[in-house]
Amino acid sequence: MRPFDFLEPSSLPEALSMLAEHGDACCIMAGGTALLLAMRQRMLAPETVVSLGKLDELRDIAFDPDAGLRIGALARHADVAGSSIVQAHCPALAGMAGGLANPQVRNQGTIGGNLCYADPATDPATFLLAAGAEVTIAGRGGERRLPLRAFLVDYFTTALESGEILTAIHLPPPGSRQMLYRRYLRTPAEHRPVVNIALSAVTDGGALSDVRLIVGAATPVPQALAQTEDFLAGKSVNAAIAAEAAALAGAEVEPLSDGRADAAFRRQIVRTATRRILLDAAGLDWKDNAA
Amino acid sequence: MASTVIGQPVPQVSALEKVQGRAVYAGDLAFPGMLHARVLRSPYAHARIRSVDVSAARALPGVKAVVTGADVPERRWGVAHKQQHVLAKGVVRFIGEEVAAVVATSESVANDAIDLINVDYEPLDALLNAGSAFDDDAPQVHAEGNLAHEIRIARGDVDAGFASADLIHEDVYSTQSQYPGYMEPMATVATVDGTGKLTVWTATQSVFLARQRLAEALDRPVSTIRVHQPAVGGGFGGKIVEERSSVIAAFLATVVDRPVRLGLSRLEDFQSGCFSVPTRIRLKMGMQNDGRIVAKEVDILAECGAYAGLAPEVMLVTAMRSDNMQRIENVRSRARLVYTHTMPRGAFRGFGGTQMLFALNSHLATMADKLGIDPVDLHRRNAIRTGDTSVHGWSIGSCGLPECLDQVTGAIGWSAKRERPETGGVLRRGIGMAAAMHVSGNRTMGNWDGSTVTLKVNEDGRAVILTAESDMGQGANTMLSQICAEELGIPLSHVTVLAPDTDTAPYALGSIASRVTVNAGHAMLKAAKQARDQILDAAAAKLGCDAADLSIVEGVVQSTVNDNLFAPLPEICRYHIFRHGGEGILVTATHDPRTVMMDKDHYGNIAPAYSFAAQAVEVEVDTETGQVQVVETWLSDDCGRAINPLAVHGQSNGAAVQAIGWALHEHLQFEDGRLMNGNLADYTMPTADALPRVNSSIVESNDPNGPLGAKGASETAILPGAPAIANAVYDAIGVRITDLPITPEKILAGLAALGEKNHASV
Amino acid sequence: MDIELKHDFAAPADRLWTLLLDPHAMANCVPGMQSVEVVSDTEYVARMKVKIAFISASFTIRTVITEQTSPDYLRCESTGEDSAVGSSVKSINEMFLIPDANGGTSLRVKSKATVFGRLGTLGLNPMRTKADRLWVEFCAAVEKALEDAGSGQETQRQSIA
Repeated sequence: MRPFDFLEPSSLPEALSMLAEHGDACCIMAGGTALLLAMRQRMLAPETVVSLGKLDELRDIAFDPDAGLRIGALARHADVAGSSIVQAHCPALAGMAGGLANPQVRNQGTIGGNLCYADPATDPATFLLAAGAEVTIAGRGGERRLPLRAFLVDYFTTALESGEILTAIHLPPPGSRQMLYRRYLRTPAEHRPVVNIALSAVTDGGALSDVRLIVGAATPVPQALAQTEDFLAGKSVNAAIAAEAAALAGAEVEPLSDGRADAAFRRQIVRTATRRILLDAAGLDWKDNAA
Repeated sequence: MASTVIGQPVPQVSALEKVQGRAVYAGDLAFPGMLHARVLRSPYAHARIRSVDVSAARALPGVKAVVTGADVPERRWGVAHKQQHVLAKGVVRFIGEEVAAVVATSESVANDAIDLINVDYEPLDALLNAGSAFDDDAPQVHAEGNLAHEIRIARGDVDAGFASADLIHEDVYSTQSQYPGYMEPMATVATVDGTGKLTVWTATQSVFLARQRLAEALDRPVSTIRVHQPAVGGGFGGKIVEERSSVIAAFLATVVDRPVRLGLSRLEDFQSGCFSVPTRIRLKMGMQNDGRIVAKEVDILAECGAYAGLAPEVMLVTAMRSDNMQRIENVRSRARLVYTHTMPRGAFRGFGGTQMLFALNSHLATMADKLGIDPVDLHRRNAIRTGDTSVHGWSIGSCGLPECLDQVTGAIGWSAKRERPETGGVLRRGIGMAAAMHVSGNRTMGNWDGSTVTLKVNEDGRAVILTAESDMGQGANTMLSQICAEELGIPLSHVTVLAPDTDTAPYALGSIASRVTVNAGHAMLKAAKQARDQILDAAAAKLGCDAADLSIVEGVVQSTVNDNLFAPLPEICRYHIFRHGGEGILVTATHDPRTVMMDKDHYGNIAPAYSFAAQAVEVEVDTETGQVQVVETWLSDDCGRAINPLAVHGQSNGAAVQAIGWALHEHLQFEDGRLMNGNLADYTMPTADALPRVNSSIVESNDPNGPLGAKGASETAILPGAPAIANAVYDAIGVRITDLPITPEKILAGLAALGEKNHASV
Repeated sequence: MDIELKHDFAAPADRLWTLLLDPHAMANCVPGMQSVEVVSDTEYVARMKVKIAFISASFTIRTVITEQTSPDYLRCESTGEDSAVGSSVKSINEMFLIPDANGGTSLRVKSKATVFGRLGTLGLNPMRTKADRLWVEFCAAVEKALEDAGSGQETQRQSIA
């Protein structure tokens, strides 16, 4: 690691002015789980690191019946998982946060840092897209709010501009929405998912409506399975419907292919994940229903 | 009287300092004026070094030295094959080979300087695949050709054996390299003192073998080098004599004449690490209908990478060791070790045994199936027994294999689970088992497999042990302390084992071949008995009684015939000194087992004892994702006698986990000779959440040649895991995986092929 | 690392070929390309910036065309050095332009790239996917350049008429 200046602003305005002052020569550090690895390998040698560690106001988790959940960007994954507010209003989010990566990352990494890094081989983005999340970004000119879908531009690329800080993640009130989340590891020894999937839908007398089915980790950025969503709208899930949806999902997903798993394998896991999450949502047992 | 120390589950004597972070490892050492070294590695698998421009690196402020292959001694080092220089000279033979090194005032400066070295390479065609080593146009790794070593062994009449067989089965198995994955990446601190003596603190399994190698590589007399072993965070074979960074660090210290530290990062350790030997094994076996093995033929192609190192010895184990596990007469082996332009491979826990036992146990399970015999019965039917002499001349003083089989199959509920009806569904369960044997000691590095222990009993009655047998985390120091405490009748906490140091400790071979308990344990026993006799003689003189009537109990010398006759041990120890002609208690004892070196036909009883193990596992296979989950595992180790059951369980469980990793998860991915996943995020060793509860049990066969009946424990336990899992996978889904690791992709492909076959046959 | 990429363009092969061999047009199409210097008809030196997450590398890439058959085959070799992350890249690339039945062209690129230095040891998984993403961007830019050139030609033709 090369020497660098370490700054710890105590307020958001101070942090923003530090970013403005140091420009591209500085890096923002939240939990630092990815940043420090890159710095230790000398892939990155910033002159200045601006740590957000003292901005406690960015750790708050709150719920408002009209606005929904607001999660401070600096909330650690373990904070989200353990929050009684999250557990009460979006238990699936608590489950996702409590199961991602490994205990070390959950205790150190933050949900905001995770989204800004935009590494697809992780969990929050997939879930939050299905939940219809939005993000707040602070800059010197003030705040802007945009849908998470617009924030996640591409592989390791976000809409965050130089000098901006992601401050909060917003989840609309769940209403009658059912949310399910599953992650698949290639082997039990992996800590990163090879595929993850989130289902969000309104179940009306058994029939699904307003279906959001998002696949992540398998793709450069989480992908909404639009054709599968359309197919599922208005349908009550049974084994045959789930199998058909799985085939559709496998066909429309555009998986990445790398040393961790090739496209064909990821496609197979997407099919499996789709079938299982739909049967789980319908309260059916996928173990007896091999496609 | 039951012992309070021997056979007790005693925590490691180093446990507290380790968990408190106070144990001092090589990388923790710091000396005034210490400099930091970094190494530049070859990016090419095979290239000629045309020139190296170090001027910019040398000019960088803070840089004290930059050295290349041109600066290092001409003499080559190696085990049997002398092939390597301190830094590559003229030619590089694998990606990661050390080409230049920098010494600077800080690691950061040294890293900057490394970036400034400009090497002009002429890339050459590289041999990256062992299977192509004998092709006519294959690039030659060394001038003498690509064949590093060849072994041929034949016993009995193999052809007649096959002719008498009712069933002959032949298959090809392949096994991949495994990274040792020790907690402590290689680290060394070296310095030269005012007398010119070179002192080296390094993570090693053997200070004397390390010193021998340094003497060779640096081309200087052995006695001008002193090697210390600080605390070592695991070795698994990788820290014997094949790693290269300690040699480079020692050389750099001689160049700058100041202390030099070279600590590898995890990524560098992957680049330079000593991985296990990958093999392709063709196995042909003949059996009679009752399951008796009547002939066995083996053809092995093993890959040592760019340099031979210990790989020829490893391959010898692959070629013949498991033959001794069974009562067989007709065996024929051919094994060839080839060079490739890839990183050197060599010693790894199990030392060549894992490779062949994967093939053998997979093969036996398949043949048991064909004969309609329970594989456990098949093992039992062929198992070697106590008192036998094996096909290669090994005298089996104790064999607890049948008991190991009983324990693991009983624990997992083998018979009931074998009877279970098939359930179908997405998740399928299956059970599998495997058996293994290993040596405890090996007379292979010359005609001595002995061990020497020096014991000092201080004037306060406490003991200090001086030995160069190495504790790299496996528990040698605890074992020695237990034996010493037991014999001297003192508490364990009154025994200290000094860290190995070539200048003060008696010569030793170190922690290899599971030899420390069986050999050093004996030497310890002898030394402690000698010290005890001296103490009792002194006490007899002081108390005016017969030494034969005295014993030491809880730190007190006590007459066994007169309760009023006693003296505290410290009093006797002081008396041993403070009398005319007295001296402190200092004894040295050596034990060299009555074994023989193998003859040129690889025949002979090489080890004082042989240990055995068996493992039974249950797996769950997800037929849609291909994922294999080990849901239950039971391992039983016949270690003769468990001097420390807690340590034996620790070794068994750790070995089981390392085997699960090898079978299912750990896969070094190479592309054009380049390691693509040399980091712990992409090379996935199983962590706690990837594992079921890991169970182990102990069989005490009480070997007549072992100290207190003990044999080695730890290496045997890594051997049965992979084939037990492969057999369980077959039981679950009917797919036989013969090439490790068992990946989800292979499972899915196997199921698809099975589906097509079934479809075709309908 | 072997990379194979493919994209179908509506333009005929000769137009695509002309564009691909125009270094200045390429400078606008290749994502992250900062500048290009034309050394000769068959040799260019380009400066490129590649960013993956917060890691950015600046490569100076020298490309030499070693073989070309207009308008359907080109082979070139590139070497690039980066100082920021202490890495270098060598690649041998082949480009095939295959006319399709509809008057369009299928462009196929086969590349064998070797990454040395720190980028090379850090696992190339992200770089492989990044290459795929850059290809998508590149093809979109080439399509746009072809369209712009096409509409320009149209306008020109009209004005002549």
